[in-house]
Order: sequence, then C-alpha cells, then structure tokens
Amino acid sequence: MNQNFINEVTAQLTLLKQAGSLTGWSLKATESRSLQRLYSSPDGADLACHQSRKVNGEAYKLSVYTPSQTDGMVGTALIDLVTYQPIEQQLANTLELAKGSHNKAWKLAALPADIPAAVGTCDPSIRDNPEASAEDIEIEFTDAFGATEGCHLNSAELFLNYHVCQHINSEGLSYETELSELYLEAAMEKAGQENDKEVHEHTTSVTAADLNVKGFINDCALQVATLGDSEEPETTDNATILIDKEALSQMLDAILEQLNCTNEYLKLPYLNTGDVFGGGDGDSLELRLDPTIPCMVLSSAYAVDGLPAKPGLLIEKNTVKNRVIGNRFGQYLDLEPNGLSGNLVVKPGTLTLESLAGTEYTEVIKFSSLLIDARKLTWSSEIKLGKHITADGTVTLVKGGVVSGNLKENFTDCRLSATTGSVNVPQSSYAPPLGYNGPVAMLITKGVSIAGK
Amino acid sequence: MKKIYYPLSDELRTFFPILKNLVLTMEAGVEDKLYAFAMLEDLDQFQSHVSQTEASSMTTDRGLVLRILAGHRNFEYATNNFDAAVLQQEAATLKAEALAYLDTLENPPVYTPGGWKDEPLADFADPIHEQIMAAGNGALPDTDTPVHFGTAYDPSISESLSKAESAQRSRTLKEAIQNAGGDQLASAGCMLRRKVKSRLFVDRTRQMSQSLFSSLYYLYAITPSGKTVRDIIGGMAGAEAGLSINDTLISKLVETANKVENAERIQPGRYRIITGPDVTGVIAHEAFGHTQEGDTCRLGRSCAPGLRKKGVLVGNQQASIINNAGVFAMGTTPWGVNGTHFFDDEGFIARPQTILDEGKLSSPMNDLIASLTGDINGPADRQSNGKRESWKRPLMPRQTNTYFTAGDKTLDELAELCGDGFIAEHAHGGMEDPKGMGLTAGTEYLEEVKNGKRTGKLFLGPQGGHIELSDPVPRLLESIIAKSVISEEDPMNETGSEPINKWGGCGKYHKEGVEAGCGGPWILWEGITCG
Repeated sequence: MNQNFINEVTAQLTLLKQAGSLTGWSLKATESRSLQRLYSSPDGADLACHQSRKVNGEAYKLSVYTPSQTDGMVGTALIDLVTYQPIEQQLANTLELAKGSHNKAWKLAALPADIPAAVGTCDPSIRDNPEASAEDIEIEFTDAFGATEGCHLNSAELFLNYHVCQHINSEGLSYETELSELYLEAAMEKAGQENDKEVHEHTTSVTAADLNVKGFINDCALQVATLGDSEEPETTDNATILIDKEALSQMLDAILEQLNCTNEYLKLPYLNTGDVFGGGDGDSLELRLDPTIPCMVLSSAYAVDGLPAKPGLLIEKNTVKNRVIGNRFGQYLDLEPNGLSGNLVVKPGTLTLESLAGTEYTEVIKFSSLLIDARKLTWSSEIKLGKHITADGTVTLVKGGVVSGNLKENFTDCRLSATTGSVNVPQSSYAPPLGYNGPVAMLITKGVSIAGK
Repeated sequence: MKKIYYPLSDELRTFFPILKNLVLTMEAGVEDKLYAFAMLEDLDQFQSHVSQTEASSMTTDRGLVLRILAGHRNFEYATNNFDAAVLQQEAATLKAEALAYLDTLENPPVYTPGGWKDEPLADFADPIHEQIMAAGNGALPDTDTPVHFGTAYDPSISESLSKAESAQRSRTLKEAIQNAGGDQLASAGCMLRRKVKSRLFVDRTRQMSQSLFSSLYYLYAITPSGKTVRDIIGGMAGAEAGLSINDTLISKLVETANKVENAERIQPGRYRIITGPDVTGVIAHEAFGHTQEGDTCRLGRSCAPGLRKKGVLVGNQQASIINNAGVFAMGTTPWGVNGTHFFDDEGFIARPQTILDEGKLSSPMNDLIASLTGDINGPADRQSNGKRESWKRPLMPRQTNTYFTAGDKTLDELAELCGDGFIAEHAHGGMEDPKGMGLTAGTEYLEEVKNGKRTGKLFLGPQGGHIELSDPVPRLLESIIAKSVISEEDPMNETGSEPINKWGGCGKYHKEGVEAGCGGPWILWEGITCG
C-alpha cells in the first residue's frame, strides 16, 4: 500500500474540507495481488499450465461531497485517484465533477464509540506464500483426479487473490480489511469415448482448506458418471423442480434486494416489515444476515456504508420482520440505520433424499444461465443438465428446454433440505460477492413452467 | 458531418521507449528461443447516471502487461506500478522463469512474429489501412515508427468532450422519460457513458497504439410493478451516437413500458419467431461464436473441431456468421460498436473471419497460442481475437463483433412469411454450451405477429418474466427461413456496410467480461422453444 500517497491525499482533502470546498469525503485504498494459472491436460489427467500470471495492483476510490446552493442538497462525485498524476489536479477535477450531480445531503458514518470486533477473512498462506499454496492445490487436484474413475480432464483454472483495503473518511472513520479468495475451475467428461456433454464446474472459498479440492473433484466425477443419453424435458406449466444451494442462494440474494430500504427510495418494488413472502404448507422461510461468520466473503466488522455491521433476522415464518436500513437511504426515508449486513443465513427445513420417494420432479443439476430479475422476482434459464425422476423412481437425464419461475410462488409450499452447506462467491466484474449458509437443496412445487418437448 | 481520428495523448506516447526497453530486457539475445511483448492499457471513462439519485464518476485505470511466450506457455506479469526499476526487475525475473521452463523441454517450438511487410494490407478495413499508411507517410512503417489508430468522431459536437454537458444531457433525458410517462411510471433513468480505451503495443517488429472513443446512452422506464423497458444506444463515436434520441424514441419507450406492465403471458412452447438484430446477434454469438473460440476448440471443450473434421453441415444455406473486429460502419450508421478494435490485446490487427459459411465450419477464432497449438485439425490461422477483461485478468480467444450475414427481405416481408408468431427484438442475455451445442438467448418480451402483420401486442414469459429462446444449435440453424437486407434504405447495400451490430458484452462462462458487439439482420426462424 502506498501510504505516502494516502497520507498526501487525506491531508489535501482535510484542507479542502476546512476551506469549505468539501462537506465530506471517503477513500477506499486497495492493494491487490493475484496468482493465476490456466491449465490444459494433454493426457486427460495431469495439469499442464499454459498461462501463468502474477498481478500486482493498487487502487484508490474517492467519493467527495461538495456544498450546494440549495439547502439540504450536496454535490457528489466518485473517482479513481492515480499515483502518476498530481493529486491537487485530480482533486480539482473531482470537485468540478461533483457539480454535475445533486443529491439530498446525508451524514457519513463516523467512528463508532464501540469499535466492532474484526472478523477473519484472510488465509495467511494465500497472503504470504501464494506460490506454495498453488503448488499444494495442484498436487491435491492431481491426486484427487487420479483417484476418480472414467473421467477425462479437459482444462482447469486456479486463481489465488489477496486484497488489503484501508477505509477512511472525513468523520474520523478508519479501518482496514483483508480478504483472500480462491477460485478453482475444472472441465471434464467421460473418458474413452466421443462426448457431447462435459461437466464444467467451479468452486470458490476464502481459505485454502475451505476450497475442499478433493470434495470438488469427487462432485465433478459423480456428475460425469451420470452423463449419458438425454432428452428434452416435457412441456408443463406446473412443474416440480429440485434446485441446489447455488441457485437457491442467488434467488435469496434477489429477494434481499427487495428487503433493502434503498428500493423504497428509488421507487422500485420492495418488501416492507409485516409483508408475507411465500408460505403455505411447506417449510417456512427464515432468513437472517450474519457478518460475523469467519472466512466468508460477506463477513466484516463494518457494513459497506461504514456503519458497524450487525447480524439480524429479516424473515421469520415467511413474514418480513426487519429490513436492511443503510446509512444514506435510511436518513433519506427518516428511518434509523441498522447496520444489518453480511452473509445470507437460512434455517434448514425437513427435506431429505428419503422424503422425496414417490414424488415426481425434475432435478436441475446445472442451469445454463440462471437470470433472476430482482425487481419482478422472476427467473428463467435453459437446463444445461438435469434429471427427471418419476414417482416410481425412474430417472431420465434431461437437457435443453427452458425452465422459468416466479419467486413469490416458488416459496409457497416449498421444501428446504435438512442438510446445510455454504456458498462463498467472491466479487467479480460479473456479480457482487455472495455468502450463504443454509439448505443445500430446495424442492419447488409452485410457480414453475418448463418449455421443452 | 466532420470527422477526425481520436489522437493519442502526448503523455501516453512517452511510454513507447519504456515498453521497448522492457521488451529488450525480456528477449534480447534469446529471440531464437522466446517471443516477448509489452502492452499498456489505459482507460479514461466518464459516467453520469440520473434516476431518483444522481451520480457522476470518473474511472481511470492504467496497467501494463509483460508477456513472454516460451514453447507453448505464456508467462505474464501485470501491474499498475510504473516505477522503471521495478519493471525492469520484473521483466528480468519473467525472462529467467521462461528460460528455466524452456530448459525442461526437448526441442521447444519457437514463434517468430511477422513484420509490417507481412501484413495483408488489402484485407484491412479502410480506417486501418489508411492510418498505417499515414504513419509511414505513404509507405509501410518501420520497426520504430509509432503507428496510431483512432476511431473517428465528430469534434463539432461539444457534448462529446464536456462532462458538464454530458451530465446535463443525462438529466434532460431522464426528465423527458419521466414527464412522458407521468404517473404510469414508478421511475425513469438515463446512464450516459463516455469512454476512451487506449492500448500501446510494442514487440520486436512494431510500435502501435489505438484509442477507442465510445459513447453509450442507456435509457430506461420502470413501471409500478418493477417491469423495466430500456433502450441502449451507443457506438464507437462521440455524442453523435446519441443524436437519434428524440421525442419519438422516448414516447415509444414509455408506450412499450405501459404495454409490458399489462402484457399477457405466453404458454411455454414452440413458436415461429422473427429475431431483431439484437437477439439475432446473441444467437450468432452463442451458436457458433463460443463454439468456434480457439481455446475451447484446442482444449477439447467444443464440438466444432470434430464436426469440421467430419465435414458435417451444422445449418442451412442461410446460416453464415462473421466475426470481425474491424466494423467501422453498420447499415446507414457511420460508426461501429464496442466490439470494434484495430488490434487485439496481443497486437494482432483486425480482419474479418467467416466462422460459419452456409452451415460449414471454418477454423476457430484463435489467439496466438491457439493458432500455434491448434485443435484436432491441426494449427490454423491466427485471428484478432486475443482479448482480456483488463490487465488484471488472463487473455483468451474472445469474440469481437459476431453477426449473421444479410438476406434479401424487408421486415414486412418476413412478417408476412411468418404468418402467426412473435418478434423478439430486445435481447436479455444468453449462454453457450460449446460441447453440447445447446443455446439459449433471452428476450425482454415478445411482440405478436398475426396473419402476417405485427399487432403491437406484447407478451411476457410463462411466469411473468423475460423469455428464453432455446434450442440445440444445429436444429436452430437448420430452421432459418429468411433474412432481411442490411438496410431497407439501401437494399442493395451500395455503401458496402456491415449488418447492424448492437452494443454488448460477453462474460465467458460468467466471468472475464469483455466488450462484444453482436448483430445481423432480422431473421425468421421456423420454430424456437420459448419459456
């Protein structure tokens, strides 16, 4: 981290605030390191690196708030500061930029009286010696793959990332966060034959131990074993489907958007305290946020707006008990900001493999591209791979067709698994981070259509 | 309309000698073993987003990538620390790692790059050819002559380079949508983005730079139930890209939002469909776009090499798809979209490639390493498809602008041929399955066609959301009935334009996001599964 640069920037910002040119500012400085390896597998089993990268970077994101001629309003701008241009000129440009955006003023989060306890979100081995960690993972991967039967490896990818951030603002708030991220991907298919299907999966974690390379490879190999002749699914407007924790966590993340008071201010659909979401005769939904679980991507001592992060209940027995009330939009709506943030935590239900006996359903093993509309709370995707199971237990592999749903109905008469698991997806250019702990499967009996044969 | 090429800033130009020195450090004395290049990326982006709140932002990102190709393995170091001593040290370390790796190989292959004299100048689009020759004062440039490529824009429109005017324009457009919609809309917004993305490339054969200046206007209207209707207008141009936004366009946006709010739902099933350039493009991109990317082919993850080897036709005579980074005009529009570039992230100059010709597959879209290693059909030509999300991410073969070739019908004629069916005009994502040849392309809503005429009635998906169009690729490409001309104003395409491409992006397997234009004509399909 370029501490001299940070010190110089904050000194100049402090002077600008004292001079009345700024009403406030906040700065997030990040230093990142990444080790990236892409592999082919000419023999179908061993890893052969064809792209090896080391990346070092730093980033400085500055938000400024400037006085407005209109009472209760403030100018705002967000810029990337760079170390290779004069700071004074960059700050002058930022002030000029802030003239283009007018917003209701709000108070930035200040240093809290009680400093919240730090949460561990970094694996020291990824921070201090990523090369050795990568080699360990490669060995673990090769050993685990070697123990599978009937699998041919096509490719793999491994990313080990480390970020350390300083968060500082004009109100005296100052804290540091560390995050390590691992991404492992594998593409494999049945060995010894020409295939028209492959298993392409990835796993992510905060620590090397949680990556569970062996478990990941075994899960992939199990999928490979199921590959065979497939059919398009039958068309129906009233399907019963079984989804996994990845899909369930993404659906809950969409619902979380409507539990945030930001939506109310932005005049988007939202769920209010007392509203009922789903229900019926199945397992009830109990959803909470928890920022204190060690080694999960959304664990942090502070919420994204600088308030001390708090765990809390959002939905109990399908009824909204609390909403996420952030610092800015809480003030806009005259609601007390509550700092609720963190990983999605869902109470397990009653669904077991045995209890599915006698039920006809389609298990979606892999969606091609699950696109969820957080405003309409609808979703749709092609089925990349699935299984149709009849009431007598007959299994048919299905592929293709389109499955679509409506979340409000999906959480009515649904069943959640008794077994729980975690999802830890780091932020990417494609999506924000997602942390989830809860049921590993959900049986949806309402609000699903399938277009196929 | 006056046009000039976007220039390279003096400050960026100072990097050429630095990059050259780094290349020397990486490969001097071992050119018979290694191939090295250095690439500087620079992003300078302004954005104004006005809805219930207002946000102005400047995104600045500059990073440097050092690359050594040793055998068939790429070694890279990337950073945004431009300290010369640190860079020299990292370049030397990279060279040592690459040489150590080579020592483990018997008879490693060596890549030798071609120079300017080896370039097929006649195949390049006019703006590429013109700027190469201008750099060399009418002759081919030499190794140390910097060649700059800039996209053309109209400097007479002050909004292009004024952040204040752009922010005001964004506010004006948002208010126009809100006023046109009144109480029927819950919210409205406009996001305006102006971006200059520059690259400097140096290897032992050349010094090149490019500045891609683009503008994007993203307008949207949100109904009380949260249904969002949008218009995405943009191109590799200045503010002239937004001149087509007028009261008629905004009225149409609001009218569509009102229709979508009250739209019926389709029954899941199979329908005759006409796709507009936006959805046509997603199908092209997903169909034999991803399936023809060099990495998926060489890693055994695509069905295409096997089908090509067997000579299998994967579509009918109308199934022809082009990938072309050198799109600088589309239909009657005198600029390209965001998939356009002059050279890729490995310094290879843009040129068109027919990836599917009347159902027949070509060699893949290759980056450097894929062209050298090849797939089951052996090594094949290198293409201008080596792209990365940014200096922070790895490079892969990626699509640029992917589009179907044009046909000979008007849209009205396609509707008449359709009889009863739907029009899918506005795209909503898509996904590929290169191994299994599955395809899915989303559309925001469908418009009804009845008795050969558009009725204007809109439909949503079976559960009230967007609609996915999905079929196995060969079945889909066999079902093309007819395609439209590029432009009904120029039915014989006397301007020699490419089909309309839409502003788009691609996240290969849901990561590694890059810019990707996609498009083509209106296409009538015999039937597509919709749900």
